[in-house]
Amino acid sequence: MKVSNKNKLNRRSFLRAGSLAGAGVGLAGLAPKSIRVAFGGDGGINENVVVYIFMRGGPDWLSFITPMNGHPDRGNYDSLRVNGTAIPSAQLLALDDGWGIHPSASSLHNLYQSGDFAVITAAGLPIANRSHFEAERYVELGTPGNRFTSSGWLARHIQSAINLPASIPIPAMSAESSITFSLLGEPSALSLGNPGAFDFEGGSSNFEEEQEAALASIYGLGDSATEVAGSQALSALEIIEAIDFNGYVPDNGAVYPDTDLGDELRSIAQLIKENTGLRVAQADRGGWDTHTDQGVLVEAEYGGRVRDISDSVSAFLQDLDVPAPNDGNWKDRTVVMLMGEFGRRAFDNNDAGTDHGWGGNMLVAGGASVNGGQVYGNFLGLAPGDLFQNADVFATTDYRNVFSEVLIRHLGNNELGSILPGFVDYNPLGVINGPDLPPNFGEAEIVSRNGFE
Amino acid sequence: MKGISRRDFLATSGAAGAVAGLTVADSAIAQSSTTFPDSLFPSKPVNRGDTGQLPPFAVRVLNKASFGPSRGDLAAFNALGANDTQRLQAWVDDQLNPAPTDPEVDARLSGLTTPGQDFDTINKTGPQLWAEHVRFEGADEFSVRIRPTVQMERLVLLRGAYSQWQLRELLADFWNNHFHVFSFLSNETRGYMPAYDRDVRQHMFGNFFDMLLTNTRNAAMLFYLDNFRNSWPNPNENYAREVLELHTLGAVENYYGAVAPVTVPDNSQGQRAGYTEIDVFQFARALTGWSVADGNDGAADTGEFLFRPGRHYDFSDGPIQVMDINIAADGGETDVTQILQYLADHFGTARFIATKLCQRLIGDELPPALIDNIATEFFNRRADSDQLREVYRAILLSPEFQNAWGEKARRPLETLMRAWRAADVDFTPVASNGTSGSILGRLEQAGQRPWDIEPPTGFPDFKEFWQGTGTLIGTWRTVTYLLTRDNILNLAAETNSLLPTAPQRTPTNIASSWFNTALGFIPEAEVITEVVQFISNIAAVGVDEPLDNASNVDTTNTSNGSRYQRIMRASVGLIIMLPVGQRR
Repeated sequence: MKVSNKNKLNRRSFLRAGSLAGAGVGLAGLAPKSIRVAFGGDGGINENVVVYIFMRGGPDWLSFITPMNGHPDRGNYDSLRVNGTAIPSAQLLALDDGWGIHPSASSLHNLYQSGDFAVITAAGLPIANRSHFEAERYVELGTPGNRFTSSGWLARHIQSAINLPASIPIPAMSAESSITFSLLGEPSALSLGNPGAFDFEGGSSNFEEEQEAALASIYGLGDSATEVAGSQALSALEIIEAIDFNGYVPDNGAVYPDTDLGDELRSIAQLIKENTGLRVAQADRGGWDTHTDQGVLVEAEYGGRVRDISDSVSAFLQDLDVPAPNDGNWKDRTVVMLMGEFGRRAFDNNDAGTDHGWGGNMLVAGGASVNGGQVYGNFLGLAPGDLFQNADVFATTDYRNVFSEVLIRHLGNNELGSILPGFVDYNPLGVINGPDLPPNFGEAEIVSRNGFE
Repeated sequence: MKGISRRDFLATSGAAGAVAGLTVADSAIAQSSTTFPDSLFPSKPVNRGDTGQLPPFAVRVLNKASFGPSRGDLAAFNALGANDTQRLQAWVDDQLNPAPTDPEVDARLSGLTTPGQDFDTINKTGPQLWAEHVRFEGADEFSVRIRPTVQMERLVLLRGAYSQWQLRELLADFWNNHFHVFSFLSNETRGYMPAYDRDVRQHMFGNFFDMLLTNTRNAAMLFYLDNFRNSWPNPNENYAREVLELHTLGAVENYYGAVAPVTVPDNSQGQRAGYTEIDVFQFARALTGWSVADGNDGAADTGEFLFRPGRHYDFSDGPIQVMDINIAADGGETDVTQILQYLADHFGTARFIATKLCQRLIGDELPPALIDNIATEFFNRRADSDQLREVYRAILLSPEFQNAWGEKARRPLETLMRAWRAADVDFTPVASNGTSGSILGRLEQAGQRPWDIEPPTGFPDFKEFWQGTGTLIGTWRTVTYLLTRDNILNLAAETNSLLPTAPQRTPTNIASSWFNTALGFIPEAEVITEVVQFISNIAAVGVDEPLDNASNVDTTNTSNGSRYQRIMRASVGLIIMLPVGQRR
């Protein structure tokens, strides 16, 4: 991924030297054709937001989005789920095409009915990989088959996007204490697990402010990875201290669940509305590696995790349904995308659990940004001959195809060759609303062409 | 767990916010006028070279192969020989042969008998832990069941801070992470961690097969990865997959995925080069019945390993074939042990373990020839009782280890331990002392509380992952907390012993003394200037002016809350948090 680094490096120094208010104007003469297209006719700044929720552990998607009576595979489902993981059809909340959503996902069901939520079935890695270790890297790094990629797909979006302002307080964040793989390698990405703990807490009697200022000066002396990381952390400290997290009141009476995910999405909503310039954010919701006693309908187990996801996303969109600068609405400018590293076996095991599998679902929620109320994807079925190795749901939609649609139609970034190298089969499902751009499957070449290399 | 402390924080903090209570329209206006003091984007371009100023050899070695030098360690290292090579060899020889005694750790543990202040669970046998903690029922049930983990977390801090056998502690951390168990999972893990850590350590300098076999028989692992209930005819694949993927061959080079096993090529040793999904399934089948005496199905309830023939594969569906191993008929436990022996002896395992160890001790990006050399050492010594000791030796004496600097970022636990040692903190972290819990809580926020990560992959070990903003702020928050505690460190008194007379105690001299004491070398001029200026600022004196010249600093008053003490704590803290302290 040398190219991304190169782009970042040179674009940054260029932007810094030019200190442009509207980057598009200054870049227009220098950018290659494929990039200039992205500016469109409105000054070139894209203000949309993507919130990426990673369901670490690999969810049993057949318990989240389930065939109901009337679905051609309900009979197969009943014969595959014989060890206590089947959900009775009558308890499911109907979507379309015979699919139903988990009874604890009533909030998502409501969003589906109002056109703000969509399901993509049979999505996943292009080649089955049942290792958490590899699959989550393949997905978040955006490079299936290569887990050594030094940056994540959202990081490379930030690095190749030319429709961002010259300066952004917080362009990208992980709502975890550590950086997530999708944001790996982008020093401007904030990791903020807990705003209440994002502080030295030394206090004035221990010269906290003076110490932070001295460290900022010292870390600012060099440009090694260690020094840049330290500098960015100390800048983040200043920015976060300027925001009143305790006083935040969600809009429209939105009530977030009292969970980590609820807290994280509330922080993300606040940062969006405070105009920090947030463009991409990731939150993790783990606990899906259910080899035993899955508890599909148990509140303390799988059922409660579904409810958490459902109610958190719903509260988030309700909270964001407010005016945004430049005559916008934050809900309409936001896409929430959910997925895990893989799906699980179509059949359950003897321990009332499910083992690792392949195809799963991707979920998308948002306002006008999302073409919701539909089930997308090409689900081949659950009959023995329809399953991969007689075991897993076939993944027929490459997850990168969905990423690409979000990148192009929502984030206005068509540099697929830099963000998802090797992916050339872009074929939008239509789940995202936004203008089309011709994908550039080659490398973004801002740098070498602008003379700063 | 993260959410709990955050919610507590929100609940107890009543500050009214600027935005709170405004209407939607008002808040949109208020929010759009928010100004921020800084921007994260764009960041400064990163220069990939990350050595900074190169510290002396002894500093580099003790920061890479130990948690960092404590008082006297650098001098002791430098007295080990006439040149760097001799010194390193002598140090490695010593550290690779740890004595059963560990003076400072033993001294701190001895005599602790008051409940809450003791470490009474750490030497209990497995069956004792099982009976007295895992299965405990009665008053204060939860705290009794979790006490072994509470004590083990603190023992990690105690050993890291004070053990003479620093390399052993670093390697124990490595192997606990390699065979990771999420300690908070259930009673069977929470109550059993002393026996788990002890098993991990038992063969740490010995033979890898012995280590692997011991690990597969430990109740904490068998519960964490579900094999305690793995039974025919519906095997649970979880553990089989992770033994292959995480503990032996690794998924990096040796996982061939969903292909036919016959399509997997042979490696340089004539072994089938890697494993497929079929091998995972076959191994899971072999592991049926590899279980724990947990009181179920007529078994005793002791937590000891138990092979259950009744749950084991009955060979009704043909032989077991895992890579090159074919088992035609039921051999009971040997069905598993011969596969484990095969895996431990596999060249792919040698490469995987060699790579991980080198990544721990040297750097993330390694020359292929080094991996080949170390893997070959591991492979050639696979029958030796000191196999692992010699593998460590080969790594530590390699030119790559000797030359490396700054190729790793310190993880939060490593930065905390280095600070603890560099500031010579005197604190035995017993459970009843709230400071120990606060340290662990802060480590958790920073992302590296011992054993506190849910997935079996354990904590990642590559640089970029640990250089996020949240990680660094969380780490410095932990270090600041430690270095501002009363009664466990007296940096003012130590400064006075370094600079015996008041006129010597100028910002320039104080910085210089602590560069030598806490860093082990004098940094570059521009860093010196910043540190001296900082001391001068907070003491409100000139850089060459004694602190006492300002009427508000009395350098004879070294009490906990004195201005002098606070100035010294902040100054030494700054030196400990310099960029060099994040590298190893």
